[in-house]
Amino acid sequence: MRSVPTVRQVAWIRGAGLTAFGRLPGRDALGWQAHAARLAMADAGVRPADVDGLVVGYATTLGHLMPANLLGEYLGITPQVALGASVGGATGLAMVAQAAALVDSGAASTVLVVAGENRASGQSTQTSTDTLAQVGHHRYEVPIRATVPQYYALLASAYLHEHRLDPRDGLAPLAVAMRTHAARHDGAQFRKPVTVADVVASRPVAEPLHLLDCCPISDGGAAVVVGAGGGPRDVEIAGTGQAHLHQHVSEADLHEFGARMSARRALSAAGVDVADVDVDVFGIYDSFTITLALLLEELGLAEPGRAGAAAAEGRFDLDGSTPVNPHGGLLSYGHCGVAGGMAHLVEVVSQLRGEAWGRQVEGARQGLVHADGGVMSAHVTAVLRRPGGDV
Amino acid sequence: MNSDWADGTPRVVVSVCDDCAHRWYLRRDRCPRCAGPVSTTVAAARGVVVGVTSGERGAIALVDLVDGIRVLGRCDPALEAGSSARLTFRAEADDPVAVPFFEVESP
Repeated sequence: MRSVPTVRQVAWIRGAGLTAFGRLPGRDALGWQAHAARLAMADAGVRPADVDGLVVGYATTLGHLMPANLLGEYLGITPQVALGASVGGATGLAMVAQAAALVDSGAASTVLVVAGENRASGQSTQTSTDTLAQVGHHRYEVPIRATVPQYYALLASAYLHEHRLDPRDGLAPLAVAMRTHAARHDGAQFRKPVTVADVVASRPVAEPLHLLDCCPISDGGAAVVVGAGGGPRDVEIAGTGQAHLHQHVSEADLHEFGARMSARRALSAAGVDVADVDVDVFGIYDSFTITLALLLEELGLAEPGRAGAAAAEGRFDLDGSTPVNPHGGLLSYGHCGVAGGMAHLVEVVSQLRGEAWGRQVEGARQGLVHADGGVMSAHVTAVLRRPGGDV
Repeated sequence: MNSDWADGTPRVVVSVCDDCAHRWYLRRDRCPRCAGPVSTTVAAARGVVVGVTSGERGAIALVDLVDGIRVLGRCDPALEAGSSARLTFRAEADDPVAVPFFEVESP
């Protein structure tokens, strides 16, 4: 096995918590955050009094200016550092990157990173759609009244045209692959297997995207504890990277959204040879099938225009060469906002610990997680390594 | 000269950097590449469709105008990615101003 040089090795993920996702009434946003936070603290073996850094993601059903302070008070945590974060779908990984920096710098020793909200049961689908649509430019895009599914559908249309693909071949197999994964996870919102025919026959949401090309809106939460580690269940945050090249689709470079740049920075920080990347399991943001296709291709995990074909060939399955989202991803595990993007991270942590039971990628030693926020706008990547993963 | 469709003047305005000649659509008071001073010009009404979608809220297109800027607008559902489009402006009943609407470019 190839030796991976270690550049920095201070911040580790010491505990992780992920709730079931779905339409699960009974908790408000703070309730989901507290639930996930307690799971992560119990997993790490830390008490609220041990937490000296608290980083919390925005919740659309809460709309509060000070999410970390709000949750700190609720849980009885009085941190030295408190920070609310808002980078769209990339928020979860951006918070983990910030937590690692706080630990590396000595500004905090035990950072709790939390996200959660009742996005499905706490508001109407229309309200959720309208809130998300505000990522568009307030003067030149929002008045057109495009929705986030429509923004991604524009990218899907451009992608299918460029590569002369039919959605049946270019996009649908990715939804099928994510559903196959989700069938093995009790917490997933949708577990019933689907076929390519089911995807293309599902209700059109924003052509060429149909219902099964789109993630659901969910309730749920996720959290991790970041600190100095090295214990047998701790997972090293080997490196993180980011790229933020545009905010609005009107100014995006459709062939360089920022994923490649972000991943290169993370791999470089982790001391991984970019030309010979040795990653065993991936968590890739998949708000829509087109999101996953574009990210897989920009990250070099599929050839241009071939992500759907690779999915159909089984490349992203547990026993494929590039296992992606063994929990089912946003498309099938579900999407409750910031916690949706953190679910990929928690899944990769489970895989690297060897605790993914019925969906374990055998011998998973190194993982890569990537998320985007906005309309392929904000990119954050994290490279994770299991204890002893560098030998 | 600076007013555009968002102000109720049915036209798209292109920003051009006096120093580096970079062109863009989304307004700033300085060039995002070199911070140079900005001049403006009215966009031509022709372009090529980058992507198109239709759904419950109607059809929408992203179009690269011949002036070198990319504009989001509503559109004729007959438009396809790669086809030529003509920029017009239309208001639905609840629009405060007429917004970009792309029609099929007549031959």
